[in-house]
Amino acid sequence: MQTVIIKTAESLSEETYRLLCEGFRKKLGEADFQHIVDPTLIGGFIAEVGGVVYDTSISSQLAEMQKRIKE
Amino acid sequence: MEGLVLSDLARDLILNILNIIILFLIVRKLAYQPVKKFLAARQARVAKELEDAAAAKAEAEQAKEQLDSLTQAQQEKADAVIREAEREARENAREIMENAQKDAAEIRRKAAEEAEKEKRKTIAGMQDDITALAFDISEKVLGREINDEDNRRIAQAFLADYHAE
Repeated sequence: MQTVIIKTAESLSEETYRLLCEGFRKKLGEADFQHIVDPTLIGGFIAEVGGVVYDTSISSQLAEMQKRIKE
Repeated sequence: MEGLVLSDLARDLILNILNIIILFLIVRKLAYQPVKKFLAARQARVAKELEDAAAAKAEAEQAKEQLDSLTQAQQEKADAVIREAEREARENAREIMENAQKDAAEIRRKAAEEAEKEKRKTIAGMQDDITALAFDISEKVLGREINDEDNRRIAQAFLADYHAE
């Protein structure tokens, strides 16, 4: 059984969290979910599945934009 | 008697004349020739002295001419040395001036380059600061504005792509 670690922003509700878990379950089958609330994400989430990281957080997107502007 | 007086007179006259003649001859023999010799020798000596003086004068003039010529040659040499020294000094001064001007231009160029570099660095720094400030503000604004509806839309968009993989 795979472990899925989901870090979410404070603004992400339990309902949306369950929606995410359901979505992962559909593809992975049964999985062990760990939920971490991280206010620094601002919005969205970061999910780690089998060493693969899926980052949809607002903070990462802002950081990426800032990096591109600097370049 | 008169005849006797006249013959005594004539006799005296003749004797006197004879005396004078004899005296003349004696003086001529004893004094005139030596004196003449002496005067001739003296004249010759004087002439030789005049000749020697003229020769010495000529020699002196020749020596003076040579000296003048030598002095002039030395003067010309000295003048030439001075002129050469002046020319060299002018050349050195010109070279020094040129080098100084080149150095000054190089310093000015480097200073301008440094100033431009600093200016660019300062502008870049300011841009970074402004960008960082803008993003800080954005984070704060978004932190207040993002709600669960937005999170739901993010989750749904992600899951659509995730299932399509």
